[in-house]
Amino acid sequence: MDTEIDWARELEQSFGTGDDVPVGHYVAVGHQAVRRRRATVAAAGVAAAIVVGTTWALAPGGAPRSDDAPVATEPNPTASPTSSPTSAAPEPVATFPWRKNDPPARATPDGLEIRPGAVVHERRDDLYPGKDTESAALDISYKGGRWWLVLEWDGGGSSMSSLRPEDGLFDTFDAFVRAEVANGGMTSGPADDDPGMADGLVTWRGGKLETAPRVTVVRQVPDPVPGDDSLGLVLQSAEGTTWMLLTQGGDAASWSLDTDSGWLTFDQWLADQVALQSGNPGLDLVDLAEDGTVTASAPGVVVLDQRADPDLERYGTGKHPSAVALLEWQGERWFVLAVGFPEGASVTTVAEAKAGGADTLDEFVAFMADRADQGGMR
Amino acid sequence: MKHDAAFSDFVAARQTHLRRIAYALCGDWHRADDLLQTALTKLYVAWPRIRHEGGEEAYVRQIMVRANIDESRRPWRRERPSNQLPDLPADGGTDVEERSALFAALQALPEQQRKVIVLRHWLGLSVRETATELKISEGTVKSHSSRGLAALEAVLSRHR
Repeated sequence: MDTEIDWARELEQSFGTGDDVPVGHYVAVGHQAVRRRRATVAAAGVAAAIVVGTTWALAPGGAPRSDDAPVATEPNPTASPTSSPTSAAPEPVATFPWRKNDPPARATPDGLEIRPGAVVHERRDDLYPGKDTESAALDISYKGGRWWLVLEWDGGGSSMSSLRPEDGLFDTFDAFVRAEVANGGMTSGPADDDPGMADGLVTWRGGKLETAPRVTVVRQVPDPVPGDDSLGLVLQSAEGTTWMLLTQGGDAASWSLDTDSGWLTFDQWLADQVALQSGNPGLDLVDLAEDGTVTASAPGVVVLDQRADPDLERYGTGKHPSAVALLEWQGERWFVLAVGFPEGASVTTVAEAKAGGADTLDEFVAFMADRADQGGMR
Repeated sequence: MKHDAAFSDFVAARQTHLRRIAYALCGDWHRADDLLQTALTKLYVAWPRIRHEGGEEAYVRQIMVRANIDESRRPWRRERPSNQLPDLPADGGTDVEERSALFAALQALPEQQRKVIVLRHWLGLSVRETATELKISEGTVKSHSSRGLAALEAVLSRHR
């Protein structure tokens, strides 16, 4: 090999660049993925896919497995996709007891396990061919109930999305599977699984809140997200006032300096976050039609002015339906930028008082253009 | 939302480079866009947990690198509308013919060799880092590296 060749330079120059995609597109897709993953059944019985993650140290039954503990797996792991019902799975020797309301299949360190008596109507394997995991989608019945399941597992653990078709979240099994596959499946955590202090300000573990030095808790809102172990916080530090929502028992967090948020109050910001975490589009004040027309979508919202297709291409306008609008809501004036990405509309809401002195739609467009380099206004 | 703002900042700053990595791995701008979107979506979901500096880019790169690139190179996946994204040439002294030849040669390498070349010799990862990223041994990295560079060098020689 010629050691004088500067391979990094040669390769760097061997091809060009593609077209950048508006950042808002990736944020919108990310929102949608979060909604899918965080979807839970609320107390009112809202229809949703339930996503459960398991590490093998906490395998089904809650106890670590010993190496010689037999775990039965489905005898035909390569069953071909078919829409015709197959016979009931044979009786396995289960190491872990099935609980009454468990879905009729689960992933174990040894593979897929079908609950005795369950009937598999359709099965698809290897849903994520680009990943080093095993996976299967099942259309399966058990004791008169129908389930759609997507399971993925590897040496470290498993995840399962389960849905009851009658809940109507998806019209077909195929649509459910496609949505799950599009979501990318199980996400591996980083090597350092300790999330540490959210924004360097607080930790929340086992219901115990601890603050960093010189951080003051101004306000706490317990359990704002239905079905999640969550905590809303207003924190005061040298950096300013931080609004924070801790979810998943403290494993995940969203936060914003109040000055960086378009919302005027913590309650508005928290309502937006809770809506997002609960599987809703967020606290969107408007709907956007295909022709770029904006209409009020929340009680008390009045649309004062609007313009379709503003020149804010870095947010995705131009390629998708879009609009800016001036609103009145709760006695205040608000600007919104709405972009109709194929994955769902993205609505950025900015109180007039936080819009850099903007008073008109032109001035708001100029303000948002200036903010584009910083990732927009959130 | 700081989560969104920080994610947006990262994407705004790094998407061009990350898309080029995806393109170097698969040789198709549409597939590169797909790869990048998949990786960035997973990054968004995992964002609260990926805090250590530099971890975001490594996370995205790892997802793209570990994807089964050649699975997506089957002809049926390449039948897309003809509205191709432009392949804008990078600044530099290498002429167009040579750029095409070298990149074509890179794409002609077996998948694992191509990944090793991209990680080790374009992005500058060490042998150990490359081995870790691809979940292969350091010896395999060296072997792929040697064979891949030999093939590329032959192409460069013909065009000089």
